[in-house]
Amino acid sequence: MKDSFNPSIEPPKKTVTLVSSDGYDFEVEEEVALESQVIKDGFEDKAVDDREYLLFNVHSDTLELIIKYCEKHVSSRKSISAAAASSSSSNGEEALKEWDEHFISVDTNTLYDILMAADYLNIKSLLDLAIQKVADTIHGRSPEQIRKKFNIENDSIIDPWASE
Amino acid sequence: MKMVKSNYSRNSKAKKLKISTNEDRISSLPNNLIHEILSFLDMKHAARTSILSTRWRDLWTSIPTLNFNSTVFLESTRKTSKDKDRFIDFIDQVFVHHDKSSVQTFRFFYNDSRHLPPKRVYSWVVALVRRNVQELVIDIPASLHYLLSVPLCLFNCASLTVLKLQFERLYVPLALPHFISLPLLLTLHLKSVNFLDEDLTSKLFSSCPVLESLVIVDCRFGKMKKLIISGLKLKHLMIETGRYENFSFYKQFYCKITIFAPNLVSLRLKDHLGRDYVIEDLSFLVTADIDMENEMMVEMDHSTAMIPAEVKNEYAERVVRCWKAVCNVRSLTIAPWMLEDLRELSLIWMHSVQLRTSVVYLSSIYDSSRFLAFIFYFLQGCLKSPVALVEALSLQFRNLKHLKLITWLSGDCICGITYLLNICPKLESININIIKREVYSHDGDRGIILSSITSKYEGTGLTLQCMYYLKYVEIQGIVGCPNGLHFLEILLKNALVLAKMLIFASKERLPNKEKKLMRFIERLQEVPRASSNNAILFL
Repeated sequence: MKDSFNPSIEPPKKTVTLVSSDGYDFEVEEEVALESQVIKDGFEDKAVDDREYLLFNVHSDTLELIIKYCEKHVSSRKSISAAAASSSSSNGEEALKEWDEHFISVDTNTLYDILMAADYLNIKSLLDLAIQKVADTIHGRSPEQIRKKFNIENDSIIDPWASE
Repeated sequence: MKMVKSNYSRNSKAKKLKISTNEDRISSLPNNLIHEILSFLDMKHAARTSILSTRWRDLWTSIPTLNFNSTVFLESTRKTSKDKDRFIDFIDQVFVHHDKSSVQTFRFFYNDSRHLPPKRVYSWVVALVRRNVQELVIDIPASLHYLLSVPLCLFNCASLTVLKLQFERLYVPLALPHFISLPLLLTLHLKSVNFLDEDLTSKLFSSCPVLESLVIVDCRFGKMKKLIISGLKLKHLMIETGRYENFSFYKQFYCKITIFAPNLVSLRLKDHLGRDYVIEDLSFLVTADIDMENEMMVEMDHSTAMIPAEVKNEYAERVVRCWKAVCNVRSLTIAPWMLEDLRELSLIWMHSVQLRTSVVYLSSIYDSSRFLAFIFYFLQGCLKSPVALVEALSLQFRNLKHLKLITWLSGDCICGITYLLNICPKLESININIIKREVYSHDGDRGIILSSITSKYEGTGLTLQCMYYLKYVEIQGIVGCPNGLHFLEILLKNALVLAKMLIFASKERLPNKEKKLMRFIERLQEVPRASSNNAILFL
């Protein structure tokens, strides 16, 4: 959005402050924060000048990624609908998919952090993206490979399904 | 995003983040998230996680989504008949082990030639209805040689939101109960089913009060004479019929389809012009894709692949009625046959106008080639008398901005397109895909494909009005023939604000193609243009 609009013409955007578990403040535009269903639900109850959300379960590193994701989705949603309204054909949705793919290609630890945060903040599309990524990792791997990949310790004794 | 203040220094944060990489974090996820993860997997892989550790042992038995895919199941097996039977047994086993009283989603994909016991499928569906299934997808692209049956109780499943029954040329008979209630159904896809009863089938659609998306592909209507598709909440409707193999049988039974869906947003119809569609009031329609083919079973002159004039007239009327119904759209896709039939339509108009009008100068120039041009201007401008065809004559796509045409650019087609462009005053972009004219016909018992030469474009006197909004034109499949040049000439002369025209040459291998195209390009450069700053790009 920053690129497509001239800030001098645009009225100042309303912002919301998100506080990470380790005490960092993130000032984001309201519509970006509203990508989270949890924030959206609590939004009406908040007083106008009290727009601060304490996110006890989200570390600043993760929050930074989450905000990046939400900003991207808000802005590309705008450009897709703008493209649909005008005559120009666009492959915006495909580009966004590619962006998502790239975004979620992170190490396993970061992936879990995103997964938990997306669940906590209830951002459905991001949660699905992270879950799909974990599922893709499991898919096609043998149990032994899965254990190794995820550091799962095999503590089972006898398993009736082992032969299946 | 702005990070405004920090209570901790960056260094301390980095230290805090250090998490041992050897930790088993996936197992410490809450159950509901693990269930979500397993729901994205095929059941075979999901069930296999039970042997990972004791933590995982029973997790799979309470996942809300069950995906069964024969291809995935048989992936690493030898695909013997025993393996294939095990797939069916596996599904039964999952039903036994699954401990949730409700199943959100059940997806069954079977692509194997081996016998699929119809009774098993039947009983799974019954079991799922009992477990308040919300999303049921049965997708069988394999050609089976026996019929499956759908249990009646499925049509009274109060929890169902998505139902997709997709087969491949199987024409599963859809027996329906007299009482149908699907209060939550949002999406219904039916592929290759055989509708049996006209009243009950119409009732099926009207018994889904919140239905938003309806897809009917390659279905048979048996002996039904009429079908009513009604839905106040319906937003997306797609009806596609395949090619009929048995001509004589279907000729007698052409089910008339009435569509009553006032809130429809997108519509796709792919059918034969032999079928009568009645479409009522689509004021909110945004996109329409109308692909009506000429009748295949009509006796055709095999040398020209033309159909008799009276049939053509009837078709032309259908085309106009169909367009009339979708005239509010912003984006429209039209298939070739409909354009070609329009030339005949103009003749009907001509006659009907002749009967009604006493305007002297028209009759004085009758027989001249200019006549048609006058007729078209005349029809658009001043005709208001309530005659049946007048409705068709007043047709205008007032909101249409994007038009996509699939055409073989015959002389008749160019006529049709010119007429169409004249009734689209707000058009901004056109996308034209030129294809070869192929006609599917029947010779005795077997179907044959006739590829015929298209008619040359001859000036009919029908002229294009100035186009004030047209900015973008894209044409694919140019082979360098005179018809194409004529058409582009007409466009360039009248598009006042055209900014960009993209021309893609045909990918087909043709003799002298390069030479022909070169000449085509040269001649196109000489064509006068109405718009001063347009760019023509050859790709």
